[in-house]
Amino acid sequence: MISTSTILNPIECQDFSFIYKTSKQLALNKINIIIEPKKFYLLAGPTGSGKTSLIRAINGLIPHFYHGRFFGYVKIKGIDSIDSSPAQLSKHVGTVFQNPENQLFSMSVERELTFALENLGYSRQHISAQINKAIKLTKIENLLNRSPYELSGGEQQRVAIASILALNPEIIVLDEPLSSLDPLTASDIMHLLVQLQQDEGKTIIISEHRLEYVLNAVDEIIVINEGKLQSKEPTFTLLKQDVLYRLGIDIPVLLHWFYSHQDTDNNEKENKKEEQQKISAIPITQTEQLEYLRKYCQNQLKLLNDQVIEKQNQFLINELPSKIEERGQNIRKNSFSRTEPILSIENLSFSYEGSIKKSDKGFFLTDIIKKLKDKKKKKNSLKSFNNINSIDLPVLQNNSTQFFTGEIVGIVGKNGAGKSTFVRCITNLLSNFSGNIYLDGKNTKYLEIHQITQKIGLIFQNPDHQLFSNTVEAELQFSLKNLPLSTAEREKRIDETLKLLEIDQFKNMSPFSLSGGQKKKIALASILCRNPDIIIFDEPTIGQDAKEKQKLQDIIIDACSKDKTIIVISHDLEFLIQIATRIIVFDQGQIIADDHPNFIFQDHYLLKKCHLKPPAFSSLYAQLRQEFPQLPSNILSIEQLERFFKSCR
Amino acid sequence: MSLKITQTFNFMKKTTFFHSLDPRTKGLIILLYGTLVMVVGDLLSLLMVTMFAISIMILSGLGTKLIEGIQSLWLIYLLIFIINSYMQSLNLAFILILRFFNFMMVFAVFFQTTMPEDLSQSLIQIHIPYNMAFTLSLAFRFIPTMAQETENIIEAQKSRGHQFNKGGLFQQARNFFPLLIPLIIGSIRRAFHVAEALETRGFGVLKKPTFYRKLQMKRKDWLVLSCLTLIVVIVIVLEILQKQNQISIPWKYNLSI
Repeated sequence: MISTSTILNPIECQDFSFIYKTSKQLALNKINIIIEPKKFYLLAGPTGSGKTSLIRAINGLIPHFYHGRFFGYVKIKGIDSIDSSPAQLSKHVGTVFQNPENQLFSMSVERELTFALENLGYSRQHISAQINKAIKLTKIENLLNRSPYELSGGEQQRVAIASILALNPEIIVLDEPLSSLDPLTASDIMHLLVQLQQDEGKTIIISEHRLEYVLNAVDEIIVINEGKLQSKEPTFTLLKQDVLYRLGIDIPVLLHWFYSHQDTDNNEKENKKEEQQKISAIPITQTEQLEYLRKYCQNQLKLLNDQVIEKQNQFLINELPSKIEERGQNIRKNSFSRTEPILSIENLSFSYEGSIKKSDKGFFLTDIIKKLKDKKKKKNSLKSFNNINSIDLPVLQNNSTQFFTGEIVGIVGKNGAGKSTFVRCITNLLSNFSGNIYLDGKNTKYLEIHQITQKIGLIFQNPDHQLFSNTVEAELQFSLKNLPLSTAEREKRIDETLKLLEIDQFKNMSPFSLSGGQKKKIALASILCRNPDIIIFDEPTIGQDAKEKQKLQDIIIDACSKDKTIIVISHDLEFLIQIATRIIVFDQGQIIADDHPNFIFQDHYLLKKCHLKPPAFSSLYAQLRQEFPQLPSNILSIEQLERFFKSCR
Repeated sequence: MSLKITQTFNFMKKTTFFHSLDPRTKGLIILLYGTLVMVVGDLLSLLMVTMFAISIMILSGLGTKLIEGIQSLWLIYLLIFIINSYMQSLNLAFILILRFFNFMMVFAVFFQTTMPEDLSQSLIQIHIPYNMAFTLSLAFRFIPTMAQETENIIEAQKSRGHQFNKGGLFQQARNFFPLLIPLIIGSIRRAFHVAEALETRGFGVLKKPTFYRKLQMKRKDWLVLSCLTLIVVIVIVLEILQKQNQISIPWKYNLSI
């Protein structure tokens, strides 16, 4: 389109290879890339493929911060990155890192914005003009007087983007900026980026695991694997190729189905040429997909008798998620033999204010001051409404629910709705709650935490918060040390758990030498080996690629078939649709809905409250149903539709 | 206990009179008030000074957190009391405790009301190297983050069945390894990330950055400083005169043991 000779390309890499000082392997291997101006690129690849290294090469951290052997050249706006420092490059390249918390160093948002400009010695007039522009673009006017560390994840990411926009760089690189955000916030950030590309003419490179968030926005996709450039094509062209599907990248569920469905359709044809054709037939745009599904439905309905379909309209009401159905009847039996709940929660309330009051007892001076303050507060209650709102509002309000053996319960709700607090109260990590929690018939108020954790295993998001031993085996031994087991039994449990998670080859390795995904598995193993009756996952899918997610689903379903109860806190709607038998929705500290996933996820009002987006399939399906009114109304995913047709036969 | 102290000496976002003062003024207040506390040599006067300071703090809207944190140092007070009442006199022991309390208080006011960046900026303005000054403000910035992380690690280890307060004293100390190791490793990792981000934001290009908002002494800064200086001078003069027996302060010697 644009001839490369006339306009200076933002980034050019030629035969660029890099070896970190601490390793012997090539982190990047002969990369040749030309990044064109004003385009939006996605950098895709499995974990450990070299995405982060490439980003570091673009912003100059390689070779100036991370030393090593450097081959070829990287030119940023014609400047060779070896001759320049990251600070000098920052005028051309702005970087947003994965964890916004670590790139915000100031106590006020305004200072965050001025930081880089001050460092480079700009005048006050210039700084003022620049930050005002950045504030307008990112719409953070209302955050200016707050501290970055007290903002929500999405707000922090906005401030981080604003802080690099202040320098007005032409190129913006983002290293997995969406990974800790909920779907709605993530799409807000993407919206902002698209706007920056289109209105301000920025060149943007984003790396992201969940392609679903970004596919609509990006012009081109760069795929790298094992340090090598696999391909660089316009989005639609690449989606019709084999690469992405092969590498186990987290592709939207619908696309993945189209891909695998074509596999089964054309099994007989093994000719290579036909293979290529087959892939190129994957429907990408919405109209293509609708057309494809229409044909699919027509074919299926031709085979089926209308009467059967009428009957099947009650389909799914007593239905289990697709994944579980495949595993046979064992679970089905369990989840409907609801006799005694294993965990029962009555009128659970919690507030942080309450917990402070309790610990304050016994000191008169503090009490007197507090009383004086309370009086003042009442007077000023209207004025400082915002302040009080955030402190005094109970985090949990009067929640009652029950959990049964063999259930897989998804907990959804936007950040700060009380999901984590709820889970922490169940395990007694927060003990100042009011109300009663019965675990196996016993009130947890009279149990010690270590007694409760024998029955309830809570798996946290960040494995780095718990790994500390020399070897993986020692890590698991630590988890088992307080359980009444013999040495042989411990050995057996450790081996079994490691095998189940397919990490037995790491048994004698240091957990710190492993990748993020592997660490996550070890954290999971450290709970699973304790064999709790109830397993709680806190956002298990964040940063996981498609294969890892698949594995996780299998583990959950396997545990469920062994009479465990699973509770999953997640924003990953597609993940929950596949496994959950029940969904609990939290909003402002209260359970506002508790039902079968197919009812919850069809309620757009509820979804919006949880900061979730309706599954991509649902809008297609709504159109399909206009044409084929005989289809049942409460189908959420393509797998369910497929299963529905199967059950009619 | 430990977490409460960090709260006491960490910046609190509020709008009080002390917040609006220039950090340099507050630094001088520490110096002046410290002199005052050291000069006043008898219990009753010291008590009056202390009460005066506390009432000013409460009036200006600081208070609860401050006193909470300072009282959590009771172990140190007890230690000072025991040692001094044993070695010296009861009177001196009380005086020392009050002095210690006062010092804690004035430092706490300083750190609670001074934004770390204002502190580092004022340090830079009095010609302390940018690197050092910025390190200080960075340390303060990450206190809440680290506190949060500590809590997360404790929760994660507890849910693996770890009991932090089990066993004898030695065992209890060992029980903290599962907290300390992830915390230290996490901090090192965080330090790397922060350093990366600093590199890409032009940190260290100039020896002395420009400032968007310059710190300036205002009229109330001068007012506070001159008032306090006046008080200190008067007290010093009174103390000297009294030592030379030229005047007698009525409440002195009546109570001292």
